[in-house]
Amino acid sequence: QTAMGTGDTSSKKSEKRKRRRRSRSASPAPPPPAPSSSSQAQASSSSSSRRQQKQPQHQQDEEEQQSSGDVISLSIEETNKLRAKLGLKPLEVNSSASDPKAKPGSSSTNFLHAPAKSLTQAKHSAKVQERTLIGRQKREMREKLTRLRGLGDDSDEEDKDLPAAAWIERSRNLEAERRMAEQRAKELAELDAEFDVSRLVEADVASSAYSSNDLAGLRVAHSAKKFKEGQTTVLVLQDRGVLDSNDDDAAETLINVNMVDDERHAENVRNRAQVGSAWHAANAGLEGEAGLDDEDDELGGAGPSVLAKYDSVIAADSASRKRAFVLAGGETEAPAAKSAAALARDAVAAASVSLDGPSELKLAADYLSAAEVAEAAKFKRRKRKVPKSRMLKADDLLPLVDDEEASKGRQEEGELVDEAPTMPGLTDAEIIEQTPSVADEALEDLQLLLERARRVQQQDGRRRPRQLPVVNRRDKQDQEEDSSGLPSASSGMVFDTTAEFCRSLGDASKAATAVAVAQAEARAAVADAAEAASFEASAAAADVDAGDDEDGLEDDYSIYGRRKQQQVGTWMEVDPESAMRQQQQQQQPSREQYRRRTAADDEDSMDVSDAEQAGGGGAGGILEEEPELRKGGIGAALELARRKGYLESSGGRRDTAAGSSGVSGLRAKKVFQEDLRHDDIDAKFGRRDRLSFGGGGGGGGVQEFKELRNYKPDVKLEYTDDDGRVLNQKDAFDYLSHRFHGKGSGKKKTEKRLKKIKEEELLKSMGSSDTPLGTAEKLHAKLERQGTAYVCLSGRAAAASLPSGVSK
Amino acid sequence: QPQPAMIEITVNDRLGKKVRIKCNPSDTIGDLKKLIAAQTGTRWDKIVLKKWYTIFKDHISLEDYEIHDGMNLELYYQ
Repeated sequence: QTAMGTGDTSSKKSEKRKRRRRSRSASPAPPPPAPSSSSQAQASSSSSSRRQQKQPQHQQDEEEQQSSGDVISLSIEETNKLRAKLGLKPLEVNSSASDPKAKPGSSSTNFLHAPAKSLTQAKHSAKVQERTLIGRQKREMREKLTRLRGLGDDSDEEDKDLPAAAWIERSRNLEAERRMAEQRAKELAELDAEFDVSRLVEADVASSAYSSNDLAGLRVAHSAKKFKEGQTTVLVLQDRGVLDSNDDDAAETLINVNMVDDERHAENVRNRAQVGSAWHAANAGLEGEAGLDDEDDELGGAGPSVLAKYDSVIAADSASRKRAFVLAGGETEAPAAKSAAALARDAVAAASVSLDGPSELKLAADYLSAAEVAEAAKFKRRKRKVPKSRMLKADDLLPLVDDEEASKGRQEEGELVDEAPTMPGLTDAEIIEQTPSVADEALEDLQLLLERARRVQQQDGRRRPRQLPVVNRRDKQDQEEDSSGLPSASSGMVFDTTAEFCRSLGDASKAATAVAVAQAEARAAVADAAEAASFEASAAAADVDAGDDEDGLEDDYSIYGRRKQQQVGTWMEVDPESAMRQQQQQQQPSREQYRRRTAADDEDSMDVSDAEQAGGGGAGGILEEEPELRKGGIGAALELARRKGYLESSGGRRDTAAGSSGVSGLRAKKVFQEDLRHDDIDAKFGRRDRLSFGGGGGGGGVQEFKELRNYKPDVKLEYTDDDGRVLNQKDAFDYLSHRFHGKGSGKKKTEKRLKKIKEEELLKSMGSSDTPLGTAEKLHAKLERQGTAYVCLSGRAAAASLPSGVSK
Repeated sequence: QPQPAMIEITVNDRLGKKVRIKCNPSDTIGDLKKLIAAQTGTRWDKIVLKKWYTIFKDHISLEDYEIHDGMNLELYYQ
C-alpha cells in the first residue's frame, strides 16, 4: 500500500490536478454520489486513511472516486476516461436490455440446443414407411397378377369352340419340333464324325469300362477272408525280380501293404512269444495259442528237425502260399465272412451250459449222506505228531485246574472260552488227540479247525493266560526255595536301608562285640544287682516283642533302636531314676561310639555301669548308665565327654577325614534347642541378638560389634613385588593388571623398569659421601693411578687420560 | 440470457482494499487489472486476481470466465 507505482502516481497526480483545475473552473453538478462520497471519504477508515490523506486537497473538491466505506469505485464517466486513457473502449451503457442477436460470436447467443429426438415421431414415421412399402409391394403383385395368364386365360383369349382340337394341334407341333431337333443333332454328330471327334470321345467312354475280367489271373497274397464286403482295399503289385520268369508260380501277386505287415508281425510274435509271457497272455485271450495264429496256418511239422530255426521261415512261406487265392474273371465273391450276429452266436454257444442237468432230480437233504461225508473227509488227511496211544491221564488234568481258573478270569472279561480246556505245553493236535470220547475223525478235524479259528480270533487274549499259570508255578517254586533267610511279611519285620547298612557294618566287628559282650556278661555278675534289676525291669516293661528276632541277625543296636521306638509309643511307669537316665540319654550315641564302647581297647576304661549295660545289652539293653562323676575325677568327666562325643579322641575307630562317617557324621555336634515361647512377647523381643534378626546372622544387621565400636584401625596396605620390593600405587596397579591379563610389558618397558629398579638399588646403596654411580670413588681411584690431583676433562691430555678401550 | 452491457465487479484485498470496477463483459482480465491498478495505485502486472485457488489469466475475457455483475474477486499481489 505504501508503494505507489511511479507512473501511476504521476499520471494520477496529474489527473487529479487536472480534475482540480477543472473543478475549480467550472462547477458542474458533480455526479450525484459525489457529495455523499466526499463526506464518506472524509470519514476514512484506518486502512485507506493513508490513501485518503495523501490527497486531502482532492477531497475537498468534487470527489470522483467514490468510496462507500472501504470500497473505492469510480463513476461511469471516470471509468470511461480511465479506459480511454488506458486504451480500452468505453463502457457499454444501455438503458434497455441489449439484443442478443447483435453479437454473433458470443457464446450465449450461439448456444442453441438441438431439439431432442422424439421417439413418438420416430415410431410414427417408421410405421408410415412400412405401410407405404407394403402398399407398393401389393401393388406390384397385383400388377404382376394381372399380367399373368392362367390356363384358362389362353383358352379365353382364343376361340372357345374347339379347345381340344387346338390343343392337340399344338402338341403335335411340339412333337414335330422335337423330331426336328433330333435331326439337327444327328447332322451335327455326323459333322463331328467327319472330324474324328466322336471316336475319341467313345474311346474314353469305352476305356473307362474297366471290369474285373481284366484282373483275371492275378494272385492275391492274402486270404480271402480278410476282405470284407463293402470295404475297399488297395492292392499293389508285389515286387518281383526283373528276370523272374512269368510262370504261373510266379504270377503277378497283389498285396496290401498293411496286411503284409500285420502278417509279418503275427509271425514274429508267434515265434518269439513264450507261453508264460505277458504278451502271450494278453493277446492270446481265451483261445490260447489259437488266438495268435493266423486263420489257416497249420504247421504239420513233426517235431524238431535238422534245420529247426528255418522252420518258421519255411512255414510262413508255405502258409502264405496256401492263403493266397487267385482272382477269377467276373465277380469274385469273397467267402461270406461271418456276420456279427453269427460271431456272437458262436461265442454264446461256446460258453453255454446245457440245461439238461442231471437225469434224475433228488430232493435236497440237510445232512450229508454217508457217501458225501466220505468225500468230504477224504479231503484232509493229517499226519499225527503224537502217537494215538497216548492216553489222557489224571495228572494231565492238574494244570487244567489253574487254566480253568485263568479261563474263568477271562470269562469275566467277556472273552470266549474254549470248549476244550487248554493245556499248557501241548499243541493243538495233541490236545485234540487227548480229548476223550472223540472217536469220529471228522469231528476231530472239525474241532481242530474250530480251534484254529478261535485262536486266530483271540490271539493276544489267549496267549497270556496260557502262560500265566506256568509263570506263577515257577515263581512259587522259587519263592519256596529262597525264602529261607528272609522273614515273612506277616512276622512284622521292617527292613530299611539304614538298618541293612548298619547290619553290614556290624558284621565286621561282630566278633569283637561278641567277645566284649561275653566279657561284660562275666563282669556283670559282680555288678550291682539293684541297678541292673531296675534297668532290666524298665527294659522288660518296654520290651513288647522280644521274640521278634528270629534269625538273631538283628544287632543290639537295632534292638536298641526298636526299643526306643517302642518306648515312644507305649505308656510307661516313670521311674525317676530311669527317667533321668533316659533324659540324659536323649542323644542317641552313634553306632561307632557304641562299638567303641564295646571295643577291646576300652575294656579297661569301661565303667562298671558300662559293663552292666553291656551285660544288659546281652540281655537286650543298650541304654547307657550315667557314669558317676564323684568316683572318677576329671578322667571320668573326660570319659563322659568323649562318650557323648564332645571330644574327638584317637583310638578305636577313627573318624574319617570329613568327620565321622555315615549318618552320624552328618549330625550336628552341638545341638542347641531353643525353648520358644510364642505367647510371651517380652521373651520374644527381649533378648534378641543381632544375629537372630531376619534369619540369623547377616540379614539386616545394623550394629557392628559392640566391643569394636571404638575400634579405628590403621590400615596399611602394602603390595610387594616378586622380589620383595615394596611397590607404590602405580607399580602395584601395573603388577595387578599384568597378573590379571596374563601378560607383562614389552621389551622396552621392562628394560626401562629394570633400569629404574637398578637405579633405585644404586640409590639405596649409595653412600652418603658419594653419588650413586660412585663417581667420587672412581675419581679418587683415578687420581691415585695418575698420581696427580686433577683430571683433564678436555684437550689433548684428556684423550690420554681415558681408559684404553674408550674412544672419544 | 442477454448479456449485460456493463458489469460492476468488486475486488477485495483482505487487507482492507475493496474496489468496485465497472467494466464490459468483453474486457479481458488484463484490462480489468489495469483498471484496478489505476484505482488502487499499484502496478497492474503485480496484481493477481483469484477466486479461491483459480487464478484468472490475463488474456481471457470476463464473459468467458463467466464473471457476472456483482461478483467478488480476490486481490493478491505477486
